[in-house]
Amino acid sequence: MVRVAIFIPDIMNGWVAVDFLLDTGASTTSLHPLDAVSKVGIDPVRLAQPSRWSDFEDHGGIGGESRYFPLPARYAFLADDGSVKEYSEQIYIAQLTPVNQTLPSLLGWDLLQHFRLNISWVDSKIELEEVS
Amino acid sequence: MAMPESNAVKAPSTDSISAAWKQADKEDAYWRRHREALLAKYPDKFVAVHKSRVIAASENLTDVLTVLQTKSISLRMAWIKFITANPRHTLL
Repeated sequence: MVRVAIFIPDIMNGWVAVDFLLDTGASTTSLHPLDAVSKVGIDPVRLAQPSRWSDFEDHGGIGGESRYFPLPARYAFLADDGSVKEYSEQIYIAQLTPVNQTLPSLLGWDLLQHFRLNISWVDSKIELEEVS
Repeated sequence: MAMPESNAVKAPSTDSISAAWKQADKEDAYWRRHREALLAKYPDKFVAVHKSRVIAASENLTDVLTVLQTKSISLRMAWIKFITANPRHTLL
């Protein structure tokens, strides 16, 4: 898992840190219901109802075909030296359904494209090295 | 594709990022410290914790959220985690 601070201005007042599963098969970054509710504080009733969002898209993914609500977001990565690197991208918030409640949020290539991925099974370590 | 700078989202000060990180570290520490006890008592359940006390536990997330709302506890003021002994296998 990779910890990233996120800020979604349409629905948040400040940053929260969320642990994302690194997903090299995902073109976009998604927030699944457990994090959407408990970290971001989205009303679960709203999260279950597409009619309460201005836009939605259907995507295939780890939970099968799901409905996602895209919103502009800001992402912040904390480097080992304490510096912060920020990016603006969309975040795709998954509709709350009975089958996706335990799914992790996923970090996709919209953000991973900014980094070189160093993955070591032996050291149990994943490093994101910024591509300058 | 990266968003154009003109469309870039304006965010709160980066100082508040470290506060968010500390809050996540604090929550992590709680789950690590109590994992075995919670697993014994609430296997394969969502567990909600508020002020270091278990407030709700259920196999269904929405049931846990309903309890929090009934007790007038803001969702962001509680920590919620799915407690299981089985590692999550995810086909990406």
